[in-house]
Formats: sequence, structure tokens, C-alpha cells
Amino acid sequence: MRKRPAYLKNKKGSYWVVLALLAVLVWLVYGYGSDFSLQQLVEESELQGRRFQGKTEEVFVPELGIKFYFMREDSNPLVAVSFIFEKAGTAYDLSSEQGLAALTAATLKDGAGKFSAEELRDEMAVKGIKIGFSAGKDNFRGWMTAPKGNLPLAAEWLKLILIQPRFEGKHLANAKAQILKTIETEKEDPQVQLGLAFNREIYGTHAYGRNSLGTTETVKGLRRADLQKFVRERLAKNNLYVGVAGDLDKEEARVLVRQIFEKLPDKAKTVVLERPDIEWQKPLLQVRREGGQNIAAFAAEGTCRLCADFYPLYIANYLFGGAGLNSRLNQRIREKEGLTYGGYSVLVINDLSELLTAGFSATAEKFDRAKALFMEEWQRVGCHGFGEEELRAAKNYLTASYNLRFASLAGIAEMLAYMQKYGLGADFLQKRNDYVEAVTLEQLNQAAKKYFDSNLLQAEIGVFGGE
Amino acid sequence: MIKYCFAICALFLSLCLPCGAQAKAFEIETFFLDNGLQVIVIENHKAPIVQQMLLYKVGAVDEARGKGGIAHLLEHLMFRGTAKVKGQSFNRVLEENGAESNAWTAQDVTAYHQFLDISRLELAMFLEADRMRGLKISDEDFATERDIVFQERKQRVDNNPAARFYETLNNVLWQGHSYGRPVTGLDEEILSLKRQDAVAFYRTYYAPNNAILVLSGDIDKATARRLAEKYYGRLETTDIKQTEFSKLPDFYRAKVEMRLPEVRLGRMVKIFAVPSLKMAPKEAYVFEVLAEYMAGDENAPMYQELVLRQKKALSLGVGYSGVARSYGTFGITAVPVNEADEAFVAAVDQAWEKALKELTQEDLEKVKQKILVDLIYLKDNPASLAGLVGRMAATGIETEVLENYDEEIMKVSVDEVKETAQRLWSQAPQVIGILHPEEND
Repeated sequence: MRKRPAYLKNKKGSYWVVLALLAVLVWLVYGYGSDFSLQQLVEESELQGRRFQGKTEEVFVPELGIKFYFMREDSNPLVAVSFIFEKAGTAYDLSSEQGLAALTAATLKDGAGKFSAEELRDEMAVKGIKIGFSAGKDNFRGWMTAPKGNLPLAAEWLKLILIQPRFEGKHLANAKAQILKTIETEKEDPQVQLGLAFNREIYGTHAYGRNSLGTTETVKGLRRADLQKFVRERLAKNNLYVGVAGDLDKEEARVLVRQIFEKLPDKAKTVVLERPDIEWQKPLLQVRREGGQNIAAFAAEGTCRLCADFYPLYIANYLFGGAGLNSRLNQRIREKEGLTYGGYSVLVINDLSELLTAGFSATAEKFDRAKALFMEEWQRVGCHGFGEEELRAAKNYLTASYNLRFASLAGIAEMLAYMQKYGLGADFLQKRNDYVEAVTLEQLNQAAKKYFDSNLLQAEIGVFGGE
Repeated sequence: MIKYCFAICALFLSLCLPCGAQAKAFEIETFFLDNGLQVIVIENHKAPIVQQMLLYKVGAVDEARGKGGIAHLLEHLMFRGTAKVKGQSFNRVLEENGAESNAWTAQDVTAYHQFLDISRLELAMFLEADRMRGLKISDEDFATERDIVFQERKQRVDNNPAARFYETLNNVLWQGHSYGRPVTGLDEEILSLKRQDAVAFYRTYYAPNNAILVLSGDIDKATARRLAEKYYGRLETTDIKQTEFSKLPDFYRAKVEMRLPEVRLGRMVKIFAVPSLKMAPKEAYVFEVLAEYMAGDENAPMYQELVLRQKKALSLGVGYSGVARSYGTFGITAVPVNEADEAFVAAVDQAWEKALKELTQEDLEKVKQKILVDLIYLKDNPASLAGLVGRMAATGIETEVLENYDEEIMKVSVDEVKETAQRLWSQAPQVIGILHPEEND
């Protein structure tokens, strides 16, 4: 007979065994079990294994000498075109013409060729054709979406707008008035006010430091001839990137792109802008303003889109302040202590500078505490980095959310244009999840150490120091 | 036999296609589970993604006096854990599964939504169903979230110098009606809320028979029905007491004039309390066409007159908001070039009258065309249509209303537009608001 273990020999012993087994059971069901079953639910889900069918194709247009990216997506009879003119953004405005790119974007479609602004607007509206422009720091961007049946008309109008814009007096005057109004209302918003002041502080006299809209004086001084010159000199074939998505085939897309951009000048005027020289050791910038919350903004050095550090820093930013409520920052300043409605961090990549920015807002009595915690979290990332579990969670999010980028057709077209501009390659969408998966904990923590350092510029707006 | 059948089918097709194509603006399936949950399915197979939206027919209007902000605070607390999914697991699990998850509270409706890969839909359905009846609210979480919503109110209102103006206008327009109170609650209301208030509100209003589930994306109707039954079918119902809305007096015209610090530009606003889509669908379509005609784009007559011809306004907007459980609103907003004085208000009134007088059948047809041609864009992003359809259903509007939207818009006549516009001016409860910029010293 085998000897029974001592703990089963008496009643008390069996009692403990039963209790221990119960405890394991409870742990299985409630502790380990709760998350485990949720993940199992995903694995056993019946809606598995579906992939987005769209494929990126590179299409060459010999007449233009350019290649563009195209994706067929025919679930809805719509077509979207997105295009980028590089080095035509607001930073490339002459100092005396600040606001020129933004003003051109605002009024470019107000009449072209034989069509008045009113005719064009009415015709586009009744045919469901949308055309728009915007000016960022680096690029002058445009987009067009149209129901498939009205595509030839849409293309013809967009072509005219790009080569024969009218810039008639009353529309130009109105566009100026709208921009001057916006410059005024920007001053009502403390977040924008802080952003503009911080921008000046970071970039100094470099063109990145200016208000993209220009100043009241420069905007007032802009003439029709300035806008005409802008279109002639900045919107050309050799600084153009195009993305096309929608219910059409590759050949139709090629014809479309040729039709729209064929008449553009071959070459844009070369404008040289140096990289800004950022001084990283500057004192805190404080802007005094009563009546609202205090708002904090931070900026550190970032990395470029094709640099080796990009994916590690992208993940580090996500974990620090990009991940919404689960980010380290929000867990600390929002979820645990309720000091703020929320903090954020974001990687801002321009052609000539890369920043890791962050911020939050809180009422004056909570502000100092929130800021102290922000600094603690920033330093903790810099000193200790992240753990394996955090890296896994970030990768899971970034790969599982992949398909959401295909929600809107205009969004797809824009993504295709940017893939070209950044030189990501036509196979980027197939490879992107692999790029994310390839990041190691060591790479992540090297990036954390390198970028979350003491070179952190700070600015704040509000009421400070017991005023 | 096969040939014969084919011929008949072909005949049917040729007969049916034209009418089939015009029958409905949208294909939306709606049904109810036995426990009263309304389910709406919108198919969109562009990408393997889906928007799940769960809307409760409850909002700030259902709050007791002095308890302003409890609907919104409860919305926050819904992310703080249940008996099965503890603490912050809800956010964490959804995020690790790539979801964009959020929620919002309005006067009439509270909505929770997740935009995610179709392979994760069942997870989201499980989690959303779980927190409908199983929420746990600890004292500690309650206190923290109350602080957060207080900061949220400060961020939304105090950081926007014109916000006080709009809150005051709302208050004056709605008098005793519950639309007059801000969704966030007032500062002192938020600070006085208790955990028990949230628990009571949750128990009263969060139940399948007071909710609408919208699934919009890469899912077919049969699967949607099966999964809805699987995850939501067993939830228990409660007795819901419908909030009674007070009836506004037939007519009044109030005026609010303010001067606020940090405001740089003047504003003129007119808001009218008018029938909502639910109260009077026919009238709602007229309002929609009227707003689009007056200032839908820069070619619209009021914009042309005030901004381009007379150069008295820097901007002008006219809009109708009709998705509501009680009244809707019709609004006119303008930023004057100079002062928002009596003369400016008169100029706006005259531009309105002039535009109305000049309205022709041709103008109206063009406006309708502009409204209808844009419907195709609603079918693009599965998340945007889900929001619109969900909000309509949650305020008690049948989905047929949207399905037949184009027909109803086409029926609107010149006479109806003119009559409705006249009545609006002379008979609807209304407030005129003037905001002056801070005086420079």
C-alpha cells in the first residue's frame, strides 16, 4: 500500500486541499480566466480570415514623366484623387508674402478658364464633385472625389483650376477677409495661441516658426499677380505626387491622371530652405492669460520617416502618450488622479524637422501636480524604457487596427500619395505590419533612452505661481 | 425549361431594375430582439472592418434637477469595469485588438462605439453587452471620473471665450425645457454628484429595451442577427419611464446681448425652436431644403447678399437640426464685418426676406439636387452612416424615413418653403443673440 501523504491523513488536511483547489478554480474563472476567455473569444470568432483585397499598383504616365500609386476599390461608384506638390507649402512663402500658399489654397477653385466661380461651384455641387486644396508647412495639397459617372467632367474642371485659375477681385477679397477673420479668431483660442507662440520659440526666425496664415499686414498686401505667380511656379510635374483610388481600372486611372496634370509646367521653381537650427536648451516659455485652464506643451527631437529609429520611436510615442487612455501619460495624469481631461503625445514629421510633441490642459490648482507627473513619466521612459508586455500590446494594437485605414476612399487616395512622397514603396501596405513586428525590445528602449531625454522644450499658457 | 425560365427572369429584370434602383436611398435592415433591443444592420463590404454602435435613448434631458452632468459622468464610468471585465480591462483588451473605441453623450442620446477589424467584432459585442447590465462603480473610480468630467467641462467651456454666450442663448431659448441645460452639467452640479446618482441612473435607463445596436460594415444581415441574438439576446429588460418634455409657449422672441473677455470678433445668432423630424417629418424636410437654399454654399442667396455684395458679414451659416426626441432647432449665425448692431440684424433680416421673395422653382430643384447627390458619400465610410442612422433611431425616427429621404426631399414645394419660412419668423419661439468683442483699452 502506498503511503498517503501527511496532509491527507487528517480531516483538516483534506479541508485545506479542497480550499486550495477551490482557490485555483476561482483564480481560473475570475483572475486568469477573465482575460483569457476574452482572447479566446477573438480566436474562436466566426468572422475570421478576411483580408482587404485592394492592391497598390504603381502606374507610369509617359506623357507626364511621373509614376503614381493606384488602388482599385469598387464597392461604391466613387473615385478619389489626392495630390501633393512638394516644397510649395507655407514655409516656402517669401517673408514679404507670408500667407500666399494658404490664400491660394483658399481661393484657387473660385473660377477657372471660361467658368466663373459661381458656375463652377454650382455645377460641382449638383454633380457631387468635391475639389479642395490646403497648404501645410511643406506641401500644397489637393483632392478631388467624384461619382464615377461624372469623372470626366471633374477631371476637366480640376485641370482648368490648376492651370487657369481666375482669382477674380471679389473672390480674392473675400478669401482674404476670411483669412484675416481666422487670424483674429485664432487669438480667442488659448490652445492655438500657445501653439503659435511655442512654434516661434522652437524655430526662431526659420519659416517653420511663422503662422501659416501669414500676418495681417502680409495678407492684406497679397495681389492677384502673386497668386498667379504661385500657381505658375509651384504647381508643376516634377514636384507632384498622386494617389488614385476607386471604381476604375488601371488604364482609366492613367488616362485620368494624364488629363488632370498634363498641362502643368514641367518644373517647379527651386526654392531652397535650410533645416532649422533648434536650440534645445531654452528656458520655459510662459504666456499669461486669464479665464481658462492652464495648458502645457512640450517638444523634443524626433526622427525622420525613413530613419532606422522610426518604428521604435513610433511605438515609444504610442506607449507614452499616443495610446489614448491606456498610455502611460493618461494612466498617470488622468485615469489615476483625474487631474486633466487628457494628455497626448504625437510625432510631428516635417521635411526639414522632426519633433516629438506632447501636452495637456488642467485647471490652475491641478496644473502643477499634473506637470510634475508628466515630467516623472517622461524621465521614467528615458531611464527605464518599456517592458516586453508593453511592446507586445503596442504591436497588437498597431497590427490589429491595420484595416481601419481603408475606411474612406479619400483616405486611401491620400495614403497612396503620401506613400509615394515618403518613398515607402508600392509594397508598403503588405510590409507595414512586418515593420512593426520586427521592432525588438532593445531597439524600443534604445529609442526611449535617446529621445526621451532632458532636451525637452516647454511652454505653457494660463495663470501661474499663485497669481 | 431553363431557357424559358431565363426569358422570364430577363423580363422581370428589365421591369424591375428601374424601379429597384429608385426604391430606397439606403439598404438598411432593422429588427427587434425579444427583449426589445432594436438592431440595425448596414452592409458595407469595402474592407473587413465594422462599426459597432450601441445607443441608449437617454441623455442630459433625462437628468433630475440639480443632477446635471450625471448622464455624461455615467458614460465615463462605463469604461471602469464590470463583474466579469474588471478595472480598465475594457479599454486595454479593445486596444490590444486594434479597436478605436469611444463614447459620447448628448441631450437625447448616449452612444458607445467601436470601430474595428471584423475578426474582433464578437469581442466588442461581448464587452458592450456585458457592461449594459453588469457595471460596477467603486467610490474611488467615481471620485476620479467626477474630477475628469469637471476638467472636461473646463476645457470645453472655459478655454472657449464664446462658449458662455452659446450656453446663455440656449438657456434663454428653452426657458424651462430641459434642452436649456448644458450636457456637461454646471460646475457646482458636477461637484455635488454622488456615486448613488450614477448607479440609479444606470439601473433606470441602461437596458436592452431602451437601446439600439447598429452594426455597419463587412457583415451580412443573417450573421448580424445571429450574433446580436447570441450576445444581447439574454439581457433582461426593465420598465423605462419616458421623460416628459415641457411644451414651449407658442411664440416668444427674446434677445441676449453680451460682451465677453478674450472675444475678438462679434457674432449674431438667431435660434428658433421648431418641430423635429420626429414631430413633423414633412416640415423637417422643408426646413432642410430652406437652410440649404439660404446659405448652403457661397452661391446661396443670403451668403451672396451679405458677404459678397453688401460686404457686411464675414461669414454666414444657416442650419436645421432635426434629429431630436423633442423640438428641433433652426439657426442663423453671422460674423459681422463691423459691429453686430441693430443695423446688422436688420440687414440679415432683409437678406432673408429678399432671398425668400426671389425663390423660384428652378432654384429649388437645384438645391434638392445638391442635397441628394451627396447621399453617395454617406455610403463611403461605414462609421459615418452608422452614426446618423443610430442617432435617428435613438430619437424615435423610423429607418424608413432615411430610406425614403430622397423621395421626401423631392416633394418639397416652393410654396411650402415660403410658408414655412414666414411662419418661422413670426411664430416660432426664438432668441436673438449679440456677442460683442472685448473692449480694447
